[in-house]
Amino acid sequence: MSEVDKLQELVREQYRAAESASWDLEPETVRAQRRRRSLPAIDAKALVLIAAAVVLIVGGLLAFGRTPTHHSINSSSSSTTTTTSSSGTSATPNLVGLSQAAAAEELGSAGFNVGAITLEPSSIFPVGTVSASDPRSGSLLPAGATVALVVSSGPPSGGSTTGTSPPVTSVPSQSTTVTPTTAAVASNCASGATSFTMTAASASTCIHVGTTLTVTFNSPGGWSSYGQWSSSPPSISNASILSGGSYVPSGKSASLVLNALAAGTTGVTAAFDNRCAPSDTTPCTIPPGSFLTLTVYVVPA
Amino acid sequence: MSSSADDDSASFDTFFRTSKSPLVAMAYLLTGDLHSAQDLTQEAFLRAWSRWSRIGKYDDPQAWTRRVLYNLVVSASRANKIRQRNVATTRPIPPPDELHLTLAAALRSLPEKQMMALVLHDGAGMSVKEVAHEMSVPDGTVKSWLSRGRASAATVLAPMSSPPKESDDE
Repeated sequence: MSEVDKLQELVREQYRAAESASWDLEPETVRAQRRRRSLPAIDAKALVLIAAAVVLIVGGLLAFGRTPTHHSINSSSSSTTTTTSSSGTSATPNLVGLSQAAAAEELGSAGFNVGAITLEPSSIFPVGTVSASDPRSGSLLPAGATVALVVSSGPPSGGSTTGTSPPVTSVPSQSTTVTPTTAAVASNCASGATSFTMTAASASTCIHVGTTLTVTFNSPGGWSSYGQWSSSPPSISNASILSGGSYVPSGKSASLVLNALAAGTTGVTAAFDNRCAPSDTTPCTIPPGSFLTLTVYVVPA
Repeated sequence: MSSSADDDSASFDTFFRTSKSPLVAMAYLLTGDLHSAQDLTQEAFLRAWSRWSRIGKYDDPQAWTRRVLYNLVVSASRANKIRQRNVATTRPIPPPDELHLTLAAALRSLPEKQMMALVLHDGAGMSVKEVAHEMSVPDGTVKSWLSRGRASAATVLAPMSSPPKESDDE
């Protein structure tokens, strides 16, 4: 048998073998990846981490002089329950950054009711997420009290930021992009480094209650990554973490949103446990050129 | 009344079911490792899905996806992402061994057209005519690609493809 014949035979045999090999991947799974649904958890033994250690102080200060009732929130909306808790009042949960449905759930679990919902453009918050609540999160209210929500209707169109509602003081947002403390991330990764740490540019950054932290893992061009977010310490209260595996196509990014941080939170750490493919059970070296960015949106509570 | 999103899902699912095996088979030929082949194929499908409003209208979405898959394999091999893996013995194929990995490297080293012709004809069992139609070239061109491709790949393989190995791997 000539070499060429052997080759043909081998090619045919290998092709048929792979064709019939078991592989239980369904099209629904592929389609769902586009929407970044929660995917099965990966082995948490992460030897390879990209950890963003953000040292900051979350305070309950209000730097901007705006009042909560800057829009047409009707505080006389009826509440469905009028029971008064004998134990007094409790603090309203942090709702900023949550979807409207999630915010309603949070309020319900905490014993409060959703009040009027007002749509307002926001250049910061995605459509359908809560940009403000009235009264502010952390307010002490009796059980059954009503909390009104301002929900983002998306970015303001044109140059005007006001719609038909009363004029809103445009709140400037501060965005801090964190640069890695190690000078050359790429060379770190290329030499087989398995983790690097990022800290906020300014350790004394004061962030208000309800601030959203977005940590983004950026994948370089040419390779896809797959990773799972986690955050710590567990003592972050009322944190809402979007977890679940993220398939990060080359050149794209995956974000972890940490919002509803409670007052007094320090030392937030977000980690992106990197694999090279969903079926990997072992961590994979961070692709050279990956980087993390941290964006902090400062909003009044 | 189904929305156009439902139609997209349905057409993609159909495409997926018909293309899944041929694509993973090609990827396997080019990588020699089933795990890598499956992962790369999944990625190729993901890319097809994210552009499905355009790709789904092509006459031959599979051909587009094949090219995407080929590019992914090349990128992965350059980045040394294709790793050896001990495949569980419950799988119907033998674990990757040097022969398969060498075959994969040999196929990857071919010019893309020759490689593609080999995979479609020798691998998938398509006729010369069918391959010619698939690749939009005359029959003669396909035959030429096949003979040159086989000759090149066989050279790389020659030292390895002699007496059958004892199958007492791992």
